[in-house]
Amino acid sequence: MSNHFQPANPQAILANRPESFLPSRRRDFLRSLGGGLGVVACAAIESQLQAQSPNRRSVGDVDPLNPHAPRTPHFAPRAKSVIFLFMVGGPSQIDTYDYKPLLDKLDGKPVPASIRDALNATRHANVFHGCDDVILKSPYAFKPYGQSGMWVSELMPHTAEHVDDLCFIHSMQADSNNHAPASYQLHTGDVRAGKASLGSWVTYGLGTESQELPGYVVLFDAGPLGGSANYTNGFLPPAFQPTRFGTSNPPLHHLIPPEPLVSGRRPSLDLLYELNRLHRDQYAGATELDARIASYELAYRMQASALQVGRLEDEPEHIHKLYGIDSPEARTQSFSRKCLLARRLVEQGVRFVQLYDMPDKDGWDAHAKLAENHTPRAKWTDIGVAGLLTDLKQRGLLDSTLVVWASEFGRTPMKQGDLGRQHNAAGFTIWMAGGGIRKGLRIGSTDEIGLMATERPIQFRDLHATILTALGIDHERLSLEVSGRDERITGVAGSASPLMDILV
Amino acid sequence: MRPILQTPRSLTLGPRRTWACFSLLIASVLQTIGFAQQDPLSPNPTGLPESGSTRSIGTALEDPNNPIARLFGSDRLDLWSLQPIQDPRIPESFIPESFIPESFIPESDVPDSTGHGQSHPIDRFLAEPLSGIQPLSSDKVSKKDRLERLSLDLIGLRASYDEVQDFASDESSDSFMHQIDRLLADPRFGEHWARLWLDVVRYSDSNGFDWDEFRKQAWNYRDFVVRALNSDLAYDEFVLWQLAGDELLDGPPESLLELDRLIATGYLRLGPYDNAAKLFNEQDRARAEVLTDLTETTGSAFLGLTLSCCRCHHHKTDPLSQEDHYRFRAFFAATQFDESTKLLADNATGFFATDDKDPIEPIRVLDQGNYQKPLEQVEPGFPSVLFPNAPLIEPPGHGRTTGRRLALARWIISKENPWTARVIVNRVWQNLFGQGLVATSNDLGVTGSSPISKELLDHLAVYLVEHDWSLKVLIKYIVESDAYSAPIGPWRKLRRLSAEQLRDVVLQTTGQLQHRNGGPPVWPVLSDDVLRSNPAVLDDNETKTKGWYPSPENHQTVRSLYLVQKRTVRIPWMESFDLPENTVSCASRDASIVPSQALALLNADWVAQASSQLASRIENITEAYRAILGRDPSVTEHRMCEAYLGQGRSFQELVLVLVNSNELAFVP
Repeated sequence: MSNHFQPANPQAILANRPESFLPSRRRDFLRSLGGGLGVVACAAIESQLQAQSPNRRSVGDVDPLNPHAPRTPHFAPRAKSVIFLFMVGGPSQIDTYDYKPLLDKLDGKPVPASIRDALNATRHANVFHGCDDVILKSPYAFKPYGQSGMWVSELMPHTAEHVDDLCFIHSMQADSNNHAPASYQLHTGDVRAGKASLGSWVTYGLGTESQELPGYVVLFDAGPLGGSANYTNGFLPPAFQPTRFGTSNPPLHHLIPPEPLVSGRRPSLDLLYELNRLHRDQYAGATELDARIASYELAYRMQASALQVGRLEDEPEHIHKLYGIDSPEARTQSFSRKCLLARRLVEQGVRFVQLYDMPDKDGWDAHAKLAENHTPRAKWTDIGVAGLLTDLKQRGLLDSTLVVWASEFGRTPMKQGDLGRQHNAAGFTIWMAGGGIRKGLRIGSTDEIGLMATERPIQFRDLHATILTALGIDHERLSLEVSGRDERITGVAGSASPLMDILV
Repeated sequence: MRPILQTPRSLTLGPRRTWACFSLLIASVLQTIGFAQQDPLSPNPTGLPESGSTRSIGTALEDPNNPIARLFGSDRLDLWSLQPIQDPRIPESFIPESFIPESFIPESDVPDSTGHGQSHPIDRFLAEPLSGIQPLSSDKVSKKDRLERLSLDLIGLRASYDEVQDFASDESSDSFMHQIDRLLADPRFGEHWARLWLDVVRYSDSNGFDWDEFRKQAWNYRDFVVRALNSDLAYDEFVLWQLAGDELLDGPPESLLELDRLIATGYLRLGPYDNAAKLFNEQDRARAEVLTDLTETTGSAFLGLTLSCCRCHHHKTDPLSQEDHYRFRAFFAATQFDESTKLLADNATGFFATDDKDPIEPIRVLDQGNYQKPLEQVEPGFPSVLFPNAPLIEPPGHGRTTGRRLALARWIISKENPWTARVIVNRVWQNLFGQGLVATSNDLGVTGSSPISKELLDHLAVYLVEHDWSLKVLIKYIVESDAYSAPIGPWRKLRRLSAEQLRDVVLQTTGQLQHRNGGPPVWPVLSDDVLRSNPAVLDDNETKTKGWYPSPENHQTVRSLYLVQKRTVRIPWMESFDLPENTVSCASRDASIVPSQALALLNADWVAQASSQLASRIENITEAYRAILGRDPSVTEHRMCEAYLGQGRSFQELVLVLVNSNELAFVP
């Protein structure tokens, strides 16, 4: 499948955007087509365009012909959308948000026996595997920020300014100490591949507010370790698979036609519509045919909407500056552009944006030379994350948008190899902010060296339950029967519980 | 005047078909060669137990000490799929003889146990009022649609204009039978049906997880499936070889026939494998996951049993205990999944599996399915509801393997097993009608769907077994029914083509599809942007398994079956059209209809290129219609297309419109 044709210039397409894109004009146009629309086809298009239909279905009650229509939550939602910032590879909690002054004193010494014994008694004993029995202090200075006085390292000076809006969870745990299984678990609830990701579950449950943009969008330079199985729809209907956006134009694969086909697109769609209508007349009540006819009209609209939402250059200079897009550093620009795009997507009604920081093959996976890994990565991402929080807040979007910052695990206080740190699934930090989350809070804690969650260990299933609760979904009722089992992202064992104390 | 029931016999079949001999290396010989050699290992090649067929099931279900009844109460024994398969009475025909199509009147010289002058047994079952579904009418679709449907269902591709014309002008009473025979003998039959089977066994060319290493030899299994289907390897042998082909051998394979038995064991290695786990001292987890996956997939694929539901606790609804899961798992306890096998004395490597007996890993029940919480040890055993006693496990004469998988495989294909035949005939029905007689084709349990007609399902199961487990004979039997050629209605829903079918059909109708005789997969050219969806691709290793290795330009237009199927990097165009997750068994494809598919089919470069190629070879609207849709345009269509071209639009654009039409995207 070679690059035989040059892609068309998206700007030219937008410039030629027909007036009929205005919803009412477009509907009139559809109605005015020779012979008129088949009644059902018309209804299918109408219903797909009608995001605000008064007769919304409830959570998970998916109309197969209109799978993205918004659905009514189980109870009043605290948030409408989610932006999930995923730092791939395992950033170190003890070098960012989990301040452990004792590390300075123990630097170069073995892990205290009591802490070692405590870890060895758990399923996480293998965290020691591959480490030296030597404590490595953080190379970074910490200081308290905000009214809440939270300690944050010098790696994250911009995000630190927002600590009074954030809620830290210091006691996260994963079931595997390897990237892909832990990452699958954070995305899907299971260390094995094949289950449905959170974004798919959320859009399956709630649909999406914009019918001209996908409901579940992923943004990355390189994807998470373990690849597409992280953000897959799994066993959920494929309508809930994510759509990958890029931050340059065109933002989607297959969004615009090869050059020779651009100018004829509208007449081609009109002919296609007419031929399909003739074909449809042979099949009474074939709603699949109507749905596919409608999907071509929606695709036409999606093309324009996607190009529009991808036009980061429409944002004023001060916004670019806020996100750090004006940075001379290419990787900062790249991450910041994704943050800005995430805001534009959410603003247009996209339900779930999964945004990865993975600029290269390593991510935050600092097995050696921690500082050489973490210092630049923090610089590339900190300003974009902070800019996103500021921007959401100033637009009043932070109240309805849940922002999560997380990774598949953290890192050990023990040294590995040449001043590196090993993976640590026994205790690490994530934070949440915005829609429905209490501000300036921290819950759970690790032992004195930041190795293992000791106070209130929290599992990914609890995090999933919390996010679903914020969206107005009862996590136990968001299920799909697969091979005789009621699959839920929070598991079938019933051991997940939302962290109600961090929700407003 | 032709008999309906003579047709299966018109396929030339020996009393027991034996495996056709094919070259592994030159897998180009796709036609069947009668290989009349008897299996040297066993006078009873399938290992089909000779014991009385249904008595033991009945006995187990009536036994007051049935372990499942004692555990859950006897209600769980009522499940329909536990009951022995019994040959049901075929309903009398409700259709007056005068309405019976000519082709369905039996010839007098052919014995017909089901009664002369009656319609096809399938149609008679469906004519009964069933579960509130409207009985089948005797309408049929047009001859053209009939052939298109058959062609899409049997070889996965459309009938050409010439083929449609030939069929339309063939007024002989058995013209449709000729088409069925032609398509069943077409080597592309195996390619299409292999794709359907590969979904069930979650085939992939890579390991999955972090590194997602390329499995350089996995295609051997894929080609085996194609060969097996094309030469109509009996389904029971197909099952036996996949689960225990190595146990049938006496040593290193000495013929291609024996080699294929070994290749079939690739089935045991198809699941995802976390090759990085050992770096984090999690190899026990990885091993436990492989065994879990193999247990669950084998339960789903061959038996329609949801063994996944009883991994952590007793099954919530079905007659399966938690111990049943682990007893089943114990059949695989010695199985090794390494590159080389001890069976191969000459250190040959391949995508095979066999046992490593020293020592056999003890299998324990796991508390909540957690590998870190082992409970009591169990021995291999079949689901206790029907087979509570320990199975007879005898290591084969060569003593290299444990005999466990052989025992399992022989039980799966035994006549005592109430699931195996039902599951496969249901899959065949699903592939031909879009939905199985049991809608949940991987789950014949309580939470699965009930069969629309248990009698028809059992009739087909008996038919399959009585016809030497021949899938081709079964398919022929089904597609020659009126039901198969009926219009869209309660029995048949409109089906959008799968991702693979749609791509293949676009390439076919634009004249781009090239034939390939199996072999290593073809790697599409993907942009770096796409490849980075698994960062491991950026970090290839010396053995060249982590990267992406695009195939030459002139190989790109092969059938989709031959495109590489990695677990963590998906081909975006294919993914738009609902590729299933290839980490777990896929019972049936979803067919969503979303705008991104329209964009993919309108805008992909390769579609534009294919349209352009066809456009350069045609001179008028009629030729475009014949190539893409296999027919002439109607007067109205012609007028519309003319007006379109009159606006300055090109033939390429016209071809693209037809490629995007609903008529091409759905099975008629």
